[in-house]
Amino acid sequence: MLYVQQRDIVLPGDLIAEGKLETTSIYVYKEGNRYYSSVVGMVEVKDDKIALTPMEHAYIPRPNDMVIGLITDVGPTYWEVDINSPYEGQLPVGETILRQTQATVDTLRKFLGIGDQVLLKVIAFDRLKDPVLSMRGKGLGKITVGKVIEISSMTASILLFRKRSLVETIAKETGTAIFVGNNARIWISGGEPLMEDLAILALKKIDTPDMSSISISDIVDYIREEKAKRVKQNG
Amino acid sequence: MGKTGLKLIDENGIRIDGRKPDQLRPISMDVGVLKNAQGSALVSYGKTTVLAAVYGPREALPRHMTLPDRAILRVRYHMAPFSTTERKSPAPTRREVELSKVIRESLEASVFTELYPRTTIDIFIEVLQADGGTRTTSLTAASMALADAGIPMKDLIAGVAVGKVNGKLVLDINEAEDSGGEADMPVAMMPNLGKIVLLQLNGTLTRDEFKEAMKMSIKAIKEIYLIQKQTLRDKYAKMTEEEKEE
Repeated sequence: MLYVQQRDIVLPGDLIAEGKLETTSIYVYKEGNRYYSSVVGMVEVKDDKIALTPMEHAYIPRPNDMVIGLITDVGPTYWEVDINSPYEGQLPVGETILRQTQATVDTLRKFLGIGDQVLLKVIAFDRLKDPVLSMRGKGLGKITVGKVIEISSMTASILLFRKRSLVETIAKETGTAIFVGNNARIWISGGEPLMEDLAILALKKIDTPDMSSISISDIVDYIREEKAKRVKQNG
Repeated sequence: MGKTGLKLIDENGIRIDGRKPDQLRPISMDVGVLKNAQGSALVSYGKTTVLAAVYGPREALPRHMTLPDRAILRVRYHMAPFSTTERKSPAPTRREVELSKVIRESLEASVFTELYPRTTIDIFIEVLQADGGTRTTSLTAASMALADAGIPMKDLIAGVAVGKVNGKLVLDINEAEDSGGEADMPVAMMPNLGKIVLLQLNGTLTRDEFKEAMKMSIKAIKEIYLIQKQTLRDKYAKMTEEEKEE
């Protein structure tokens, strides 16, 4: 027995269902045979299955997640990385192209300094230890071009798991490459500065709780309109 | 007559601020009022106004305070120096330290701390104006700020204080009724689950009075709960509307 409908906004303590319910969301909890929401979020119903996307949530790392990190400290054999999460990431020397034997604070600092942005992969996280990150893999490494922005956690999970087409459309329209990290940070690169800014504008535009109602054609129109305005100003 | 000899309720059962015995003060609520905090709420019960801000889950410092299996809650209940008629020293008093603990324990009953081991959730509660019932107002505000911050919890918490003045039970007491009355009983609940998370009693009530006071507070808490929910819903509805107007 379901008590919610498609795209309902639920609050903590709201009854979602009674009896049997299929869900993978950690934000739905069970008391007796009743299922309740534990956060402010939006419900999506798909053939008896419930997905609950919270409006806000903290990023909890999972192995194989791609994250955009910010170097916050350089240790003797590792870097500390802020990955927009309650847990600080660690990037050991062994997970970069540097060799263990080359590890001195000097070489480490030269390779990655405080404030550098990096694209990394989570290789291990078990809640007892801080997440271990890796720079080994295709496309991973220091971010030297483009811009990095942060969006709300809800928009990020929708863009990642359900509406990839939106990202692809923005990338195509602006001629940029857009990478959405699992930790709600986005890297925009490859275009002229104006086009990168347009892509950021479009991403900010969809970064609202109501993004599910924004269609691809809306966003295409928006980008073209903004582009026309800017070309006119500059021209 | 109350302890102070003041007449707090007249022959017609009208209280000094013109309310009926079972009437709440006008309640106003707002969420997301602070930009820097992950979640925030501003709640007033009549003249009592409380601001709550939530930060976290975040890395706890000093690290030895953290727990390996769950997040710790750190609550600071503080009264602003200008919140009372006479200036209150900003240093935390015994009363404030105790209330921080009481509020923390109530919130711990609802927050799923086990989802974020080794972290801390910091809750700052600032009483901007005090006119009785600050602890229940604080709990109401803190729980809304937690919901606004996206921290998973069983249910929102709403609270209200029932008092006894001139031998009569009155709902949502203000400062005069609190200091001049015979009893003061703050109650806080998770209304949807029907669980009580805070129950204190200062003064004496008979068994029947206690039962009656519980009934009054539960009814009032359900009213407050509806306002809480509406406020949280409105925040997202408003954001949606703004988007459409652009």
